[in-house]
Amino acid sequence: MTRTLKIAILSLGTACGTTGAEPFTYPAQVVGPGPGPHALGDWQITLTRADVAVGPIYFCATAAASPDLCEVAVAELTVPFVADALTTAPEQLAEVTSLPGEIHSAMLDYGVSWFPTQTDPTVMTGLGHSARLVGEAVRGDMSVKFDAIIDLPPPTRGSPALVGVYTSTTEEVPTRVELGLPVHAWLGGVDWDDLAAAGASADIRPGDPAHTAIVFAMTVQPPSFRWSAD
Amino acid sequence: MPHPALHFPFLAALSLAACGGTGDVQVFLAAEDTIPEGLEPGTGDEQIVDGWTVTYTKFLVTFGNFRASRSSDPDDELRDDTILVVDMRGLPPGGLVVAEFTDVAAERWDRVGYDLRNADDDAAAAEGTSAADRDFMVEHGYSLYIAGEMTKPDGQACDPDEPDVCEPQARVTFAWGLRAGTAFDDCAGAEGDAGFAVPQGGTVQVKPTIHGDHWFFNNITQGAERTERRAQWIADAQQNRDEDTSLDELRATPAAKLFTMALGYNLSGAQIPIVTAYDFLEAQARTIGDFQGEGECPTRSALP
Repeated sequence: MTRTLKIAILSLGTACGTTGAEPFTYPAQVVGPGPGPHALGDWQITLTRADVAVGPIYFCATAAASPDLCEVAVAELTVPFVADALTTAPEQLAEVTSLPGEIHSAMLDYGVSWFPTQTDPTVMTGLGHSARLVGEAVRGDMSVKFDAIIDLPPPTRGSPALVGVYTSTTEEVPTRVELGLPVHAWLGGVDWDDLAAAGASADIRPGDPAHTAIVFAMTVQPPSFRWSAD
Repeated sequence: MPHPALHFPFLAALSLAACGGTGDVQVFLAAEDTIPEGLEPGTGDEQIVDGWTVTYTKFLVTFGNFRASRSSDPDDELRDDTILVVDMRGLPPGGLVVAEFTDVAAERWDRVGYDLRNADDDAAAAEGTSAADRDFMVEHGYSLYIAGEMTKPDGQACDPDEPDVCEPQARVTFAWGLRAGTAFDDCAGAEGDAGFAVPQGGTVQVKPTIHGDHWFFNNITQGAERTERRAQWIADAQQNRDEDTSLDELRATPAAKLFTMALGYNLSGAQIPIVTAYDFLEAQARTIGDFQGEGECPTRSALP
């Protein structure tokens, strides 16, 4: 699918010559919630590392981005990157290639893709995973240090990890898009009481209940997109 | 100079003639087979892979505001503001006529939508729907009410916190009302053909179609329904093991513990944040408005 889209948008760049539409690029900036502490219920979470692999991302004109409904992307970010979500100042990490047009939805991978021609999902960044979240959770005199390595591959071959991500811009020619990564919210479903009861430190790995909770949150609380045009 | 209005009928007639005359539109509200017939266990189309059989005893929706227009002339709109509470298990074969339009331009009406609204006093009982059902929906403001049972001879209910801890449970009932009013737009047939085409001198039948299986999906459909259907989550969310899963029990069950990646769930693209099992149910209830059978209405927006 992703390769199909890439080809499709590049083809459009030439096919649209009759309408004068030419591809253009603009920066993708990333912001995170910072190290915290972040209040999650009774727990305070402080992050010391929050690396998140993002991309590819496909931006679609339809209200529901999916391989069925978005055969041709309006814009795309084809080179996955690793964002430091501890930063609260927008940081430029990638470039979006676009044609003029409104965007109403997106689909994306968290640095692990599964192209139609591949037998297994493929890691796309040096991080080697979808995310690495390290920090400490504290509640009163209880605490637990955690190191979470998160893998979130696409559910099926040829599909992105996330589809139908809502976003909207009426700027037909944006000059910047800002991605918000709500990593603190992704930790909200973790049962910190259980983790703390098991010991002073916890390695969260695929198959663990805490990993399941984080993956679920990354799926239903996707990155946000804020568009602007100078 | 004559009054401009005097010119209009002539100009309109000229315009319609240029586009191929006029035809009629009949709008039928249709139910997916899963509503009257239920769902069987198995791996085939519309079957439940984890072995449960599902039967509905009640399936009510509040339907209305059918609309259609053409991208080429957005101001020319077909609209019927009627709001109906409809017993989807009692529809005539082929569907219930909910709107009719005559002498409309014989062209493709590519922008089609309708609402499943939260019922209010404006809602009437559709033909074949009891006054009691209509009053029930209006009293609670429901857009959807479903009741039924799931059976599985060797069924189990498992603890979401400890999935290996299970008890025998061969039958689970449910009775759920939701205020999940949603507007469904940009409807297209299963082949992706937007809206419908009106034949010159003929009648096109248009079928908004309500699906009865989306809360069994392991994803939020965007376009074609490529999904597995699973019902075990309903049994597992039942906390007191009284053979009934209530909405309160769904609200008390974290979604992340039921809808796991290991079971193939991917709930990206939901219209609302999904935290509990109830949120999952509501998110799926906001997707059941489809078109011409298996076609989709992918633009969905919440209604008050």
